This record gives sequence, C-alpha cells and structure tokens, in this order.
Amino acid sequence: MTARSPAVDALLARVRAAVRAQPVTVAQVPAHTVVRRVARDQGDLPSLFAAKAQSVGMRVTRVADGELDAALAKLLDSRGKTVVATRDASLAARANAAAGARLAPNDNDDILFDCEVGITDVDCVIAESGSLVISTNGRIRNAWITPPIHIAIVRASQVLPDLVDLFESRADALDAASTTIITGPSKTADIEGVLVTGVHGPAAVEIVLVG
Amino acid sequence: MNELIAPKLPFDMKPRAREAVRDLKLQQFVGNATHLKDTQRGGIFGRDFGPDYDDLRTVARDTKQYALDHLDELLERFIENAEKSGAKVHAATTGREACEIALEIARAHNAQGRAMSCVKSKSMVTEEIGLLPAFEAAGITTLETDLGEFILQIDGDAPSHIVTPMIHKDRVATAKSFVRELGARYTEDPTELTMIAREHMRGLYRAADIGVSGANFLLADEGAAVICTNEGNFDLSVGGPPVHIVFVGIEKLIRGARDLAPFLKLLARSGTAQPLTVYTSFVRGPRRAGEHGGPKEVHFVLVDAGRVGVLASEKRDLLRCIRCGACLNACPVYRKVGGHSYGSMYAGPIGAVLTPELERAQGNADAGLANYADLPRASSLCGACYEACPVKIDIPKFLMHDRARLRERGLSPKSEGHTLKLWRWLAERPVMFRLAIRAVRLHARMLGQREKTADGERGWLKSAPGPGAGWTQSRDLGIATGESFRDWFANRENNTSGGGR
Amino acid sequence: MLARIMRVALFTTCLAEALAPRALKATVLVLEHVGVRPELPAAQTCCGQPMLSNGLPADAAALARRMCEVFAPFDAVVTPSGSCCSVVREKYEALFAHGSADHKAVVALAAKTFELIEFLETQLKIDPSSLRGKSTPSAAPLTCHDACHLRGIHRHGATAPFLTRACCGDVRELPDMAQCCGFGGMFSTQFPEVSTALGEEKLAHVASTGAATLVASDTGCAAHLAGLAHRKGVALRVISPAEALAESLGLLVELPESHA
Repeated sequence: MTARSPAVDALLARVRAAVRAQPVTVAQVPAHTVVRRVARDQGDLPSLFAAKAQSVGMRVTRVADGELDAALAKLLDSRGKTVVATRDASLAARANAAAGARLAPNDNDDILFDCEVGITDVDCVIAESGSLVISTNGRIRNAWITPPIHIAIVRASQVLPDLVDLFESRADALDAASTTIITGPSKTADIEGVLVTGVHGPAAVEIVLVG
Repeated sequence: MNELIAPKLPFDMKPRAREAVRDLKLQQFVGNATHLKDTQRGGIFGRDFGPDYDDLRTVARDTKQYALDHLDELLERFIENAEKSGAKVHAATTGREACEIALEIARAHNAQGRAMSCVKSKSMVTEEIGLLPAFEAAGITTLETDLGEFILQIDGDAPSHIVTPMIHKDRVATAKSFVRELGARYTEDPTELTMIAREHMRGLYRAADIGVSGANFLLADEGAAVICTNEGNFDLSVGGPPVHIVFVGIEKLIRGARDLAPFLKLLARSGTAQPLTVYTSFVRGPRRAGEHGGPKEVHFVLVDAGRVGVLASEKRDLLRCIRCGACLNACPVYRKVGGHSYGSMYAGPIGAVLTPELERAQGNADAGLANYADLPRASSLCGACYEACPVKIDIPKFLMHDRARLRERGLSPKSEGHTLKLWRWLAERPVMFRLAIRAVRLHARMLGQREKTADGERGWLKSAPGPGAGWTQSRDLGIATGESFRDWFANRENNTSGGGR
Repeated sequence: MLARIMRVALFTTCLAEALAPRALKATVLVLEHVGVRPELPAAQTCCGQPMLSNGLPADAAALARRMCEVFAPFDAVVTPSGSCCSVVREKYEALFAHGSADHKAVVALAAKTFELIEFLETQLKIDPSSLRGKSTPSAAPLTCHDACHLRGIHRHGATAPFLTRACCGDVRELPDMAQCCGFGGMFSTQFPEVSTALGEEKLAHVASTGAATLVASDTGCAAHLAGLAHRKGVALRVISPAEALAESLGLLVELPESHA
C-alpha cells in the first residue's frame, strides 16, 4: 500500500469516529430485485433495444450480416463530405472502402475536433433504456462525443436486457479508464426549457444494428 | 463568490422572498418549470415502475444509508482501488484546503509559469468551496461548460436550482449577455444561443490544461467516479486536458457498481423525468497503456467541508441526498420564491436543512442555524418534498427539529413563543381554555364585521395583534360568533330532537 | 353493528371550536345518521400541533399526554380536521422514548384516531353510494381541496371520490390540488406574502372549476382560503367534508340568507 498523505489518514480517522457516533440503521444492503425492469429471458432483445434507442432520439438501421458495408456507405454518403475517426483497423478499412472516407490519423489526440463523424463499435448495449455502452478500451477516447455525428456499430448478440445486467455480468465493460453509457444525442433544455440537441456532444447518433 | 449564493451572514431571507413573490416573470418561469417537472416525474415513475416505485425508493434509501453507516470501510476501499487504477487521492477538511490542493496540482503542471486554462463541468461542491474565484485569483482562466452554468457565469449570475441552474433566467437576458461578453450577434432563439455557446467553447476545450468535474457517485469496489450529464460537456472537459481533477463530497460513496442501478434509475427520472441522463460516464483512473486519448493524471479531491460533522449528527440521513432536485420542483415555497431566496447554492427543501447543517459542522456551535434562521421556518410542512425524495429523506422532520433548536437558542420570534406558551397553559385548563375561546368569539362579535352566512354567523376580523398581524395584512379572520358547538351539543342532550341548523 | 357498542369520541380541535363549529355539528349529525352516537369529552382542548410545528416539542408532549388521558376511555376518536388527526397519528410517537409508558399511550391513541371521511370509509366500511338514496344533491357545484397533512395517513385525494359517490352533487376536480394552499400554521403569519400568494393560486384554481363551494378537509386551510376570499370580496363558500355530506344527506340546511 502506498504511503498515504496525512490529510487522507486524518480524514479516515475522523470518518471512523463520525460513523461510530450514531447507531447503524442499515446493517445489510437489501436485495435489489425490484430494480430490474426487463427480464433476463425477455425475447427479441434487439427489437426492444432498437425501439428504445429510437424513442430517445437515436436512429437505428437494422442490417443482416454482410450488409454492414453497404449501410455504412449509405450513412457516410448522405452526410456529404466526411472525415471520420476510428481506431479499429478493420472498421476503418471498411469505412474507407465504403465511402472513400478520409480517415483521420489517430496519433493526434486533438484530431477529433476536426472530424465530422466518429465511428465506433460498442462494448454492449442495453435494451431497457436503448443505451450504448462504450469504454476507452482499445478506442480513441471521445470518438463518440466530439464529432457532431456518431455512428455506432452494434451486433445483435451484444444486447443486454436491463441496466442491472451491465453491472452483474459485464464488469469488463467498466474496466477501462473511462466508460460512457449513451442514451441519446447530446441535449439541453437550460434556456427556458426549450429542447436543443447537439450542445457539446453529437447532434445525431446513428446505430447500425447487425444481425 | 456571488452574493446571491454567498450572502452576508446572518442571512435574512424575507426581503428576497417578498421580492420574488412580486416578480411576475420569476413566478411564471419558476412556477411553470417546477410544476411541469414534478408532473412529468410522477408520470415517468408511473409508466416505468408503477406500484414498485415505493419499493424502489426503499431499496435506494437503505442502500445509501448502509454506505453512510459504513462510510469508513467504503472510504478505505475506495482509496485503495482508486490508487490501484493509477489515480491520486487527496483529502480536504475545508473548502479552502480543497482549493489549495487544486492550485498545487495546477502549479505542478506549470513549470513555465504561463497563464493556464481550465474547463469544468457542473459541480455543486465546487460552488461550495469557491473554486472559480480561487482559480481566477491564481491566474487560471476557468470556463463553466454546462450551458446553464456558462450563461450564469458570463452574466455574473448565480445558480438557483440544483439541476436546472438557470430556471429563473430568460432568453432575453441570455441574448444580451452573449452580445456583451462574447461579441455575438443578437438572437433570442434558444437553439442559436446554444450554438453560439458551443462554438465559443470548442476552442477552449482543445486548449485547456485542466479539466475539473464533480461526481454523482463514488464506487468503492472499483475506485471509480460516476458522472451523469446531458450535454456531453463532462466528457469533453475531462477527456482532452492532461489533468482531470474530480471534486467530490465524501457522502457520494456507495459500495460499488453492484449497487448503482437503483440510483441511476431514480436520479434522472426524479430530476428531469428521463430514464437516464444522456451520458453516464465512469472515471477509473488515468489513460491506460494501449488507450488513446484521456488525461495522464486523475486526481480525486475528497471534500469534507462539514460533511463529517453531519455524518456524526442525528441528521446523518441528509447525506443520502443524490442531488436530483425533485424536492425543489415539488415544493410550494420554492415555486413561489425561487432558489436565490435561500441564499445558498443548495436551495429548496434540502437546502433549507442542509445549508445550516453544513455551516454548523464547519463553524462554531450553532453558527449555521443562527446564520440561516429563516430557512427552517420557510415551509408549510406540507410534506411534498418527502413524497418526492427518491431516497426518502424526512425533510419535514428535520425542519421541525431545527425549529426546536432555534427556539432553544432564542432565535425565534419572542411574541410567538409567548403566545404558544400561553396557549399551552390554557390548554391544560379546560375551563380557562373554553373561556379563552369565548373571549375570542366575543371580541369578534363586538369588533368584527358581522355577517350571517350559509355557514352560520361570523365576525370577520380585519386586524389582529402580535403574530396575528401577519395574517390580517392580506386576509380576514372569520371567527364563528353564533351558538358555540358545545352549547349546541349540550342542548341536544337536553332535548331529544335531532337535526340542526 | 359494531358501531352500536363502540364508544366513539368526537375530537373537536381548538381551531374548529373557534372557527368552524358547523363542521363539528355536521360531524355529529353524520355519525348519528350512520348509527354512531359520538360522545364529547369535555376536558379536551388542543392537540399541541402549533407547539410541535413551532419548536416547542416539550409543550406539545405535555398536551399529547393530556390527549391520551382525555380519550383513554374510547374505542375510536373521530375529528373533522385533517391536520390534527395526522399530528396524533404521525407526530406524537417521536415525542416520547420508545418503550416508555407515554410512548405506548400515544401509539394506542394513534391507532384509534381517524378523520371523519376516513372513519366512515375504512372503519365503518360504509360504501358511500349506499348513502345516495337518502341524499339531496346540492344545486351548487363543489370542488375539494385536501389538506397536505392527509398525505401521511394516505387520505390525500380521498375526499372528492367519497363525496362524489355519496352523491354530493356536481363535484368538480380541482386542478393542481396537490399544491399546498399556503396555510401551514404559523407559516401563514411568518411568511405572509408567500402564504398569501399560494392561497391566491389555490383560489384561482377553485374559480376555474366554476364551483361556488370549496370543500376543505382542514379547518386551518379553510380559514386561510375563506379569509383570503372574503378580503378580496370573492363570493365563495368554504365548508368541511362533514358539512358537504350533512347537507347532501339533508341533515343540515343552508341558512336562507346564504351569501358569503
């Protein structure tokens, strides 16, 4: 154990004393059964995920295996000029091939601000809330945040039923410097409650659901 | 710090409350927004949890309470795991210390002594400790990146709501401040205003030396922090700069990701009627080998600033608060007076109990309550806050507790105290008590405006003495002056006929 | 029926004796109508709510003990005032050490204290529509405001449905009923502008329903709203649920010169 600062030790000592100053009200954390909303055995998770993702403002294109490249081409084409950022070499190659997309060199942390599209795969997704789960493991950090358009490639086998499943069975997705659960395009309603999208994060999130 | 949320102490709430009630625009804005959010909150819980909602709240209450009751263990575990992930952990007893730790970190990255810049996402605790003034004084230009906080920052304004900080501010004020401070063209359109802010911030994100954030939760098992936002400004603020400093109150700790789900499912629904915020981000140390992008240093500054004192007190429950803002939206008083009336960054029901408590735990004996004596009284004890709270904090109970403490220390209006003591004295002597009621009725019969109404005879008093003057300044007091109930009841017992008038 | 052998006491509350004796009369008449003869313990005075809410718990405790003594001989205690009922039911317990004799006494009192409509519905289990046959609905439309303090005893929102089914005429839904009317006991005199603003908002909602009569389930709320309406010259009857029921059952009549 690394030597702690005196301040940290002092804090721990004070907290220890404070905890003991009052009786323990809850000796055991209760069961969290009521928290789950989507059953483990819920059928057709990909369709539920797609519906929920759309309900929070993301677009979903469902394709069969083998149709991914065509789907990417269509998406990138319809965006006009494209500068994409993705670290996954095979994904990059496909994006390149799909639309003659100019792939940003990924050795410059700063490059994302000049990109119009960020393409990433995902660690998993959650059907209950239509959320994407993306970690910094093996990816360019913020490729899903900085460019105004985010394209997420999701495999049908990656759909988890409920948020609790992420914590119960996909601890690996949280084992990175940073992981983000994304549930829609960036938004705010700070000015008089009027909804505005694309504030800092992407204004558009395109999900390609394969399989 | 802005006088609105750091007023001269002792803080007199009444003038601000009176002004707020007269401010029709504030009434409209705050009233509409809070009503809407409160109604939508009920709607989404009804839709997604139905009859399970109350059980969900109980689970969340107990899970958070467990963490508070075992905070020392969890803190040890958090520090160990955070350090394992490569983060550095600091502890600050006071807000001043927390600022100094941050300045020390900044200095360590500034061997050339140049002007530094910082981008920060929304954090209540950084308001508490006065981080911005401290950074600015040290020559570190700091940009608030949350849109609401940014607009408040450039207009010299202060937040008035925990979750929707500029609930009191309109587009016109925003437009004017953008022209004045950013040299932007004049527009009142919220989308255009937002895009102006966005463009302004893009460049600042790229160049920033330090990213600062708060945290919604700390996970002991993982040594990680969880941050919930809608705009994406958190991820941009901390993903780019080489240093990320997380300021977080020690009470944000829970066991780990295994306990997180109930809070995530409650937080956004309670605050803004969303199932989840758009971004729920986990921070688990600096950039790892093989990762591309991200800070090279992550620092957790664990802030006490009165929290340890509250933990040790009979008000430990208050630390369950997950800062969802639901109690503000439900509170009839908040709806009428707005957040600035509370003289603190924590407004509404939770603010009314937490502010004096944090003050007290940081100061001498009862400095907190003495400085904020109005707050516990600014409540009709309607209980809407308790009903709205996802972690079942019994705020009315604590308000009453504080009223008793104020009374003990002679900080409550004397005339009220005398009236109540007299009332009790009379109430222990039934004959005297009934005489007193008869005296009041006689007074109303003789001096009140007499009226025969459908509901019997009434004497309307237009002015009352002592504490009653507060009533009669805007209302009449209708005392029943006809036959007393007891006489009526006694007469019936004597006659056998029933019915009545 | 159990009602005939049960000893039921009327808890008048000091506010109702001073401000709303007709509500008490109505309570007696309604109870008798359903076969209960309420008794009136002469020694009762005040439940201590103003002391409790204003930082004098020891004084409130003294009055709580007194309440236990006064109502000890009875099987049930019924009151037309929602907030006083909730003080007994919810707030007394915290005044005494768990396990003490006083604590046991207040727990016992809480278990047998009810608001009138609650008593009819949950204890006597009267189906309000069974009252319908004998009732003469009021011509004037009503709207109901339930006191915030009914929340804790889970009766918030229960008045209007009961009165509707008991055929109290045209009962109109009050928009935003959940928002406090602004009375709050001494809050009304400590923060009078806020209290008044909330009361005005409540009255505006009442006006929007077109109802000529407001049924308010707490004497304090009623006094605040009636007092505000009277000062502004707004014609509005403010009565208790007991009176609405009694009028509907033909047990109480409106006085001929019925203008507020």
